[in-house]
Amino acid sequence: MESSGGEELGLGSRWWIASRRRLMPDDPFFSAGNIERELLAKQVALDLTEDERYQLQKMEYECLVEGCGVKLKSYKSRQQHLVDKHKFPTTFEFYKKAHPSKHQRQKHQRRQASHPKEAANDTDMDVDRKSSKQIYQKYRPKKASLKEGKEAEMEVEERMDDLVSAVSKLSTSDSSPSSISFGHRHARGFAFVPRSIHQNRKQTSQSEAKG
Amino acid sequence: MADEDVSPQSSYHRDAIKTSVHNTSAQRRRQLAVAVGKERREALIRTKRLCREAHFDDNEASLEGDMNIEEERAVLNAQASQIIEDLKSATTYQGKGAAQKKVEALRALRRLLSKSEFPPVKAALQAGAVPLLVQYLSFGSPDEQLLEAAWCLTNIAAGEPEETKSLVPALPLLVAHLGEKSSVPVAEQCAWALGNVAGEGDELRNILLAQGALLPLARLMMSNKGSTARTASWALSNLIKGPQPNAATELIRIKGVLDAIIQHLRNLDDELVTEVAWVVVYLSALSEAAVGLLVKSDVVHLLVGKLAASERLHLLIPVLRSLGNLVAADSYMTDKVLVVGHNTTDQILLGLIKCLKSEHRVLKKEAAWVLSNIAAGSVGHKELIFSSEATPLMIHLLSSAPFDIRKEVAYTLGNLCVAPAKNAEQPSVIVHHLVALVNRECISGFIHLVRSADIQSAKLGLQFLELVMRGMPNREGPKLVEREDGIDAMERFQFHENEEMRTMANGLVDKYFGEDYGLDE
Repeated sequence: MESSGGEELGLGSRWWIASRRRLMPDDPFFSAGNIERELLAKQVALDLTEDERYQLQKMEYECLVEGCGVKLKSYKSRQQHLVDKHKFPTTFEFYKKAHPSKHQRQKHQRRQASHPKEAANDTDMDVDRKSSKQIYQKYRPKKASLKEGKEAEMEVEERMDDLVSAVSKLSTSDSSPSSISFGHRHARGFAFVPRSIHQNRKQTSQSEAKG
Repeated sequence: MADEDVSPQSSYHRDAIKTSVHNTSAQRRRQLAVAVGKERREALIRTKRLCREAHFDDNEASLEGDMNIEEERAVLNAQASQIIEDLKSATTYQGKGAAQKKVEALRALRRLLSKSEFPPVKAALQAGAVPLLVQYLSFGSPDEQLLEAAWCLTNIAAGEPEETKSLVPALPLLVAHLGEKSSVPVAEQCAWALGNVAGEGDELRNILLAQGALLPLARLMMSNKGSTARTASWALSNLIKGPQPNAATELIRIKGVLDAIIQHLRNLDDELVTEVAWVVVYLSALSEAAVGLLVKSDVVHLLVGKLAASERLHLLIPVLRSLGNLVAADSYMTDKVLVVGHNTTDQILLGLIKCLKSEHRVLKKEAAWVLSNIAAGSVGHKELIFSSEATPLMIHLLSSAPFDIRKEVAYTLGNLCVAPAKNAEQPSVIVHHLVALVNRECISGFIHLVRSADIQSAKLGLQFLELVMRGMPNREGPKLVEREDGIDAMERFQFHENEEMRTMANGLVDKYFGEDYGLDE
């Protein structure tokens, strides 16, 4: 079966005709999968000063389970603790990016309505920039092409829905095979620099190179 | 559930959380949800601490926050202007320590543009940053200077559209530094800056292509150094993403590119593989030449391997999509590569099944799309998919998943039921498959589609009902359709504005529920 026009053939026909369907990269079909990628359209090259690095080193990572109270030294060791002690799935990827709550979004929308000029600046800082920056990364993507505000909000909605549905679908089995990722995009700079441990290594070498 | 309910103030969930080994599943879910909420807040606090920025936080008076922002910005803007002035005077420095002074001023600007939450890009631009940085980028300058200058431009380009566009005067020199005359770190940083520029939009992409950025970026992509290859791949993916196909077509023609892609797909560094996979996404979507070369190369096998083995969403998306593009574009894939019985075929099926089971909507949807195209292949392919775990998964998704996934799954399930037609006449039904699906209550899922607002889906539903009513043995089809309120669904189109739908639906009702209907009983 030929692919191009196959869709038309199927559509124009009373009968079901099995044919391949080809889609262009900008087809709306792909937009959900593009969300992460769009955020990486531009990337800021970050670096930490010695002060900030020191501050980070001092930082503690508290166990995320209510009532546990244990403090760990790094993100990774905390994840290990959660897996070992609290039986979290090993493939569990915690939600690294915070999204504004519905309240925040509404607040933001009201701001936009009443202060259009200022809001123009803030729009860019809405979803992603305002919230968590993985500052221990070297790379941080700037908000790129979330031009259409409405689309951006729908994407946020979708991500929120993903988060909600993800949480509601959480398997309690430890042998859960799928990686539970709360709509987390490794985006926002993760494309280039993975985990914080790895990054610290990279950081040092980078800082040596760049003096 | 997740967001609003989980807050530090809420004690609603607190009592229920126990870390004993007798956690019920509900407790477990709550525990995990609380953990996520806590982590998010923690991330927010960290950001705040380091970036000294005020958040739109529920607990914080935004007015107070605003004032801090204003003050902070004013300070940063002033700093930016000052540093630009320093940089201007530094261009005239000569003699001992001149180079060092220049680098220090550049570094100060770079830090300003990279560390704070509100980098004073506009102020820097207004003070004349770009032409100045172009000066500092001149060939023959010390590497450290070139690096810092390129880094500054990178971060300017990462900003607003107008800020990115302000780099236009710097583009020729940035492109020039991609070449072999410049050191690798400098070339890499320039690639990064150009990647940001390409990421801005069509207009800038075309300028870059006209200035010959493609070839040197491709050369950098072939580098053995991981970070260089990765940065260049990312920049290339921005450059060739279209919608015009010319850049993609040009890229695949460059000698060594395909080999480099193959080599990098073998790399253990997932980040590199991800970037290269995105290049393949655009190559496979936009360039027929690329498709032809890719389907005959090792790329397919390597992508299938990643699909089957990886658990990482941001890697799986471009891998899945590349494969999807290739299957959709060239029948060579199902004819020659994904032959039934070959290991690659078994693997891709496993990978697609894994995606169907994924929590991620994107993976489910796009995997179903790929499956639907494989199911449009030979009878052997249909039988392979039909007898796999994919079928029960899809049957379940047909009744339970969000609309977009249901639609893709519907395409696949329907494709399993029809044999390739010799001409465009009535395709023959694979009765065995149809019966199995009907017995597992798929009719209602398709009737649901008939009722949907999307005309394409409604048509899909009607076409399937036609299959059922024609193809089910013992003329059981119409009865089964009626039982699921199919007649009602079809009659919705009786006076529908869309002529095609009207004709189709009315035709079916007349043919199968006409005067003779029910008379046999």
